[in-house]
Amino acid sequence: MSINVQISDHMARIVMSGRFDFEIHRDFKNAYMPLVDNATVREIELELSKVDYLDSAALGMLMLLNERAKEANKPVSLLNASGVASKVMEVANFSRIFNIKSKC
Amino acid sequence: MELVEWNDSFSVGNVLMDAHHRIFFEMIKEFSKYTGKNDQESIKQRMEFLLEYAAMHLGAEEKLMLKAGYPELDGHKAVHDAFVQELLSIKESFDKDPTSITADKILQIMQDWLVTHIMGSDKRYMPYVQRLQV
Repeated sequence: MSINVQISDHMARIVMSGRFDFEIHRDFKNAYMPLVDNATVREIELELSKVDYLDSAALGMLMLLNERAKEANKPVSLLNASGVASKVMEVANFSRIFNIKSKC
Repeated sequence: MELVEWNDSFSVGNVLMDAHHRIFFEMIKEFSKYTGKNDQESIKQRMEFLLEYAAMHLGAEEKLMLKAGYPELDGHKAVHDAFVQELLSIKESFDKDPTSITADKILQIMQDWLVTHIMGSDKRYMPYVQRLQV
């Protein structure tokens, strides 16, 4: 799994690839907390097109991010979730909780 | 331990809270696979994560009840606070002496509390939050 953070024009994008599971929970939190705390960041996007596996802990991590970002008034969008990731997220009704986008 | 699967009977009438609860059950199930392995650090990390998740969820639920004008919020919050204190106490014991309680027992306590709490306390706020957006 790799986690890469890009910031431009008040928008932060976290680009994930590989297995999104419990083993990366600390790295994931270390990636998003500075963005939640960064006053210049107004919105957070998670690019998931290269995520090929998600476990339930990953869903928990996304909920933690969602709540922390909500406290800071920063919307979170999930981008380009792949078939497997998309199916796992839909079980928990993520399309009604997060802004789900498909774009390049 | 006998694992519980979330189903519609657990619904509290709010999409976000239902998702939180469902994921909580799923994580307990997932983490129960590790309790037989003798890897204390791995178990400890998972317990800490569940505690963080539980605190996040309970806080979000309290905000929702406040927004919905739920009249029993104070009593409900007291039940949450007592549960968090119980979890912190269990974690402290586990950290000091991992043989004092099994990881399986900790997951069982969490799952039992979750089932009882959703079906009892949480169901009472259902009519108040049903009309709210996520």
